Amino acid sequence: MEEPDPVVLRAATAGDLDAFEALVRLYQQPVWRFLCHLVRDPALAEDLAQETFLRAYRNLAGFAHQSRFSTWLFQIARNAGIDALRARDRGARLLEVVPVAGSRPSPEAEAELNAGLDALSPKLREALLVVEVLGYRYREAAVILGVPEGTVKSRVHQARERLIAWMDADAGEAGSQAR
Amino acid sequence: MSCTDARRLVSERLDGLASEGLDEHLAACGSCRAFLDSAEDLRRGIRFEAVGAVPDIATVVRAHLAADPPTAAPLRSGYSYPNQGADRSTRNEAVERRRGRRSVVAVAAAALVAGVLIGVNLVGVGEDGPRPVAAQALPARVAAAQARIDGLQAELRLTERGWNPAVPERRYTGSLHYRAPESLALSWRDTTAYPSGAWRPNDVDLRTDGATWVATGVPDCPSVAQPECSSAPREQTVSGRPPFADDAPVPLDLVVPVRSFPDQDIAEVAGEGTVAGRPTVEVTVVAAQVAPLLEGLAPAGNLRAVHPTDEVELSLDAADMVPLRLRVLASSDPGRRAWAVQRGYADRPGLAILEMEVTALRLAPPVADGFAPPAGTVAGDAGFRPGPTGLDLAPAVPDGFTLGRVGRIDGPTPTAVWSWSDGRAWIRLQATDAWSGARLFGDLGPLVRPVRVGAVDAFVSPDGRQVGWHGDDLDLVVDGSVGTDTLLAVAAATGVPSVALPTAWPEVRSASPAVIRRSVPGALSLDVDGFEAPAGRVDGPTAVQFTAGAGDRRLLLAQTPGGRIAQPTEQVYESVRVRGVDARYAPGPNRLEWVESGLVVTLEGTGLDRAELLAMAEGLALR
Repeated sequence: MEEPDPVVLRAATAGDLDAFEALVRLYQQPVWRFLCHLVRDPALAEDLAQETFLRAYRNLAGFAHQSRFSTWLFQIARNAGIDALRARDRGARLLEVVPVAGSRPSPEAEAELNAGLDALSPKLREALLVVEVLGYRYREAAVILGVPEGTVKSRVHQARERLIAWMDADAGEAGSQAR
Repeated sequence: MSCTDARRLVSERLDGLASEGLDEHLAACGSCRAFLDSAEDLRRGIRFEAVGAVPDIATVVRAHLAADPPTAAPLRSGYSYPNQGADRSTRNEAVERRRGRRSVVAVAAAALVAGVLIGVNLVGVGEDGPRPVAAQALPARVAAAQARIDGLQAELRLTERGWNPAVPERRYTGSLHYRAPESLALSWRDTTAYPSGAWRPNDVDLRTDGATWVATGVPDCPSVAQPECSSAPREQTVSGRPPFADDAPVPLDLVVPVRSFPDQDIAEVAGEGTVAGRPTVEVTVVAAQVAPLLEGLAPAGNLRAVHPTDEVELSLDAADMVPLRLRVLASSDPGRRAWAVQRGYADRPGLAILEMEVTALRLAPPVADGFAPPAGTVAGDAGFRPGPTGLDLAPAVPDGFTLGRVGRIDGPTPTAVWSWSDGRAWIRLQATDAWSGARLFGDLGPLVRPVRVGAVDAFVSPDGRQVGWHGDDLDLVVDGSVGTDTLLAVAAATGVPSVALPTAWPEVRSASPAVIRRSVPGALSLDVDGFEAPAGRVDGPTAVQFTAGAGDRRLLLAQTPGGRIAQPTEQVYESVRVRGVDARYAPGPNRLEWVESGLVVTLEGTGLDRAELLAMAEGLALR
């Protein structure tokens, strides 16, 4: 993940809105993409991405360079996403945990992958996204997710195993015309 | 090298770690080579998955900041921020279902302490606070009552306020029919006169005979987007529902609110009255405590949400503990206003946002059995098949209980299920010989409490409602609406001894308070009145403890060596004093952070307000 120009970061920290806008432009794509995958809802992800940057702006003075800027920013995005998942309504949660047979995905790879991601718990999903989509190493992913490095490693692996099993099951089902 | 190890190494290699010995295994093992191929395909798929055009967020954010420049976060100077190793995932899981709290007396006491702490003058608690008129603890009465209920028929009335500025009040009539252990029919008819035909009435129906489950209602959408966002009622259906399945829930707390008043709760009767001609006992709690009851009111549809800190006046049938009346009053919690605005609610502190009352009650199952869904309903199959379990295991029927549905859940992990009931009380045993997960079977949560009972080294979930263990060729979990001791007795009576957990399972690191004290010197203990004994874990230098109270009340305490709290990531912080030092409070996640005795301490609560969290922080001690 690209890091911001230190001059821009300093200016943004000092309250320069042009500089902050440049930071937003630098990260809006990966932040929104990450949130899209995490909350599975592009419109909600857009709101959350806005909130992420507003939170970041508010907290810039407290950013103490203990981690890379992008790591810190994704920590904020992740927190915002998790808050939203928590607040999601009961009905949606129910549908998430009871994938009804009739709503199984079509065989197209993308829909299949999406459905597989949907079926993962948020914990596994976020770990996989931080490592796979954002390309972070376990050490930084651990900072973003707020869990030990070993936990990231095992969650990413579990997520992969489940997604692969999901897609295998789907392929088998489509092949055998089981339903 | 086993295939399990090899696949773990495949994953690590993809993420850039060394993977010694993997190539030799792959050369000899086709299925692991296939796993590697699939994992690489997955990477390609996920990295290039189309998610649509990226919206222009920068312009909107800029406009926001220009219109309303936020002030800097109120951080004290002198903080700097290393990272903490605390397991936040615990919080995520814990907080999925929020709400819950205990008697008003306890809250008032907590508020008093907090008032002193934060220099706020509190008026009107103390001398004038409610006092119990009957000292019997409610939890024992609720627990005893559940075995007495075989069925009920109730007529109901519900009033909802604040949902939308254009519809200040919605009124419903309804009925609740129940036959033990898990047949239930709940319906609400919306009698509100809406401003126009564009508004859809919030009629709700839930019907289940246990094995099938059908819920119908309008899909929820934000109040601010009403009425345009509203769409036609939707039917959610499940067949092959396993006994007492959580994911197609039967709102048994509407019958007797067992989950709202668990053993360790300290709620006391605060008054007496009469509803529908029946004597009642009254208790005032916060919404978080009775979350399972409140959630049960709306199995579908768009009934408004309740804030965890809202006050709930609850009247229970004095003999049988059936909820006969409840009144939810909007709290004046500092975070609540923003919460309400975000949802488009027209609330003000003290507004009675929900009032439910039973207008007629008969404590007997309905004569006509209308619980099965209508013929022709097409349902998604949850996989339960009554009949042989497929396992050579014959668990004894727990004392006082009768055998209920028994069978097998098909799926990736075929699972045998036994269920027993006694009135509304239930116990369930699930066992599998096909568990391939990397943690305890049964989804007990990331932190568990180790308990030895007979030949079983069991693990108890933080809320005390699940007991799991790992046997030689079986993995088992017992849960139910009864106390932890009963669940442990059922576990011991299966005769399936435990064996040591695989070293890679996270539960291996489960730690008792004594272990935590030894591993992290100076660590505080999360022993809190009204909450279960804490589940704990030591991860390297970090100790994490987690506990659950009534309803959805949860507490997480993480402690890790260090002298500085983490970099800020929340939108709003407040500076507070805790235990004689400066602390940082984040209202969003309801989290306190401070440094004490060389440890960075994080205390996070769900279903508690700020005052109560502060009081609990103050009460933490070395034990």
